[in-house]
Amino acid sequence: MATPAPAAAPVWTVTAASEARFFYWQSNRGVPVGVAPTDGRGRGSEFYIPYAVQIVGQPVEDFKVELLGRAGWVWARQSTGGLTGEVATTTDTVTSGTVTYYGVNGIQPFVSLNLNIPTGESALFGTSANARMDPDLVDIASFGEGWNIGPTLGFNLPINKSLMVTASAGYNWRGSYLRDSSLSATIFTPPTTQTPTNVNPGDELTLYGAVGYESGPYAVKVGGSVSGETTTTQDGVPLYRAGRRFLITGTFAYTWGTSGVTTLDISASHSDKNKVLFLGMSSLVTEPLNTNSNLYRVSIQHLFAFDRYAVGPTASFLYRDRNGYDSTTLQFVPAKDRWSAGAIARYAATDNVTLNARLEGVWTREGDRPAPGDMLFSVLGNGFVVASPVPVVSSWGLQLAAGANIKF
Amino acid sequence: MDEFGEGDMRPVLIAATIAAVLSALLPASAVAQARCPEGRTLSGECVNPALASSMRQSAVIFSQPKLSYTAFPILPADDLTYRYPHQLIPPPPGPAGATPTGIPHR
Repeated sequence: MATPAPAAAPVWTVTAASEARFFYWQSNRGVPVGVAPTDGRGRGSEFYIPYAVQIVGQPVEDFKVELLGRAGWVWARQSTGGLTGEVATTTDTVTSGTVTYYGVNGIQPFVSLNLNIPTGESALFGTSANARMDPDLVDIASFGEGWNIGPTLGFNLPINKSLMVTASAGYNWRGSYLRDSSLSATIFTPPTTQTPTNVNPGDELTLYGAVGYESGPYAVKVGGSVSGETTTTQDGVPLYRAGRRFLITGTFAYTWGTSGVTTLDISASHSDKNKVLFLGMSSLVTEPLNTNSNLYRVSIQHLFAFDRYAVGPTASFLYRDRNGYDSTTLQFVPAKDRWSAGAIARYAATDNVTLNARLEGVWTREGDRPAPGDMLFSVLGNGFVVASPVPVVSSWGLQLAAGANIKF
Repeated sequence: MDEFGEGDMRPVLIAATIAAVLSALLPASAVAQARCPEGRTLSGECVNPALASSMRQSAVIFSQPKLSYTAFPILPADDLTYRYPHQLIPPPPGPAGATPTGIPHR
């Protein structure tokens, strides 16, 4: 008689990963762009080391558990004349735990709990505040925030073995944190303020849905999300409420036999008008024009596969259109382009160890902000304020990264 | 039970007989189902595991766009996939913040 096979012991896979990333940029302006550099050019650099551990397994039949923790360390320095500042700190830590249930044919529900743990530095006093740089040129532009707790409920709905629909809903309780004062600085004055300010960001609800298809050489995923936020307060006073945000994204990949794979990503976002605090008002009012810009991004990469390694080019373009205000108001934000081009490489050193590397050049161009007579009209302040004109801001940067994934 | 313990064999023999009968009546797939790592479709086919895993990860990440301005809960090598779409989300208010004379967002 054949005896039943004993239940298999749960199999757990552990992956450890880390990278070292270096960023360098130069520009005709520093950050903030409204301050003219004393030596005529802006520049800065950043060194960032993220590290993470992921554990995946099925402790019991019909349930999969996926755990991940990620932290990091960053050093950043802006060397722009008159805006010099430096910071070195651990970054915030993010964790995620997801449980998926497979006991019902035709649907695989999952629940996830995600956290941001404030192990970084949210408040930077004195000149260290100048180390906050352009997120289009460096990975870490903000060095910490508060506790964020983000549960998500969702499900995968397989239509057949190649076609799948997924949907999820996530809520993010965002905790308060200390920040160097934002009330006394604008884009026209350096952030050398000393007053600690308590910022309580608005909580966020997001709904997401997507369709995915994978068969033969084709892989396609198209999705969209809508997010709404509650009011952000500062020292207990309502400051603003972000407008509803819409995001669509698509990924298209084609595998060329054994030659490699091409991946195209397209994304776009739009945000409705914010509610803001007009000078002298006690409650938030919907701004007359939209201070948010629409953003569009496209990227493409191709990996040529050779035995145990793959290498190929990568490029991207991001366009942020000008916001709803015109150049004569202090609320005007000009259009901005961001181009990048470079190469990526991956090498499977063993069956359990993968090495990766990336080198990219980045170029950005932001439109000018005229200020006739060194004055601009502030919509929020309902009056004219002293302001400096800002020319076209052109920047270039270099990004270099190398890392490893080790699976146990 | 005799000196060789054969009396203990009767429950085992009965169980073996039942198992043999069941094996003859039931389809082989029901008797020895292959495990599907990411579950099954309504018709019982195994779900494409790479597709399911990728869709689930996207559903978690995109439902938490402001979980952290530092990074998403993904391995660093996946940043190229998930970070840059979120270049489309406004950064946190910098020193300019949202002030009566400043600009709410960059």
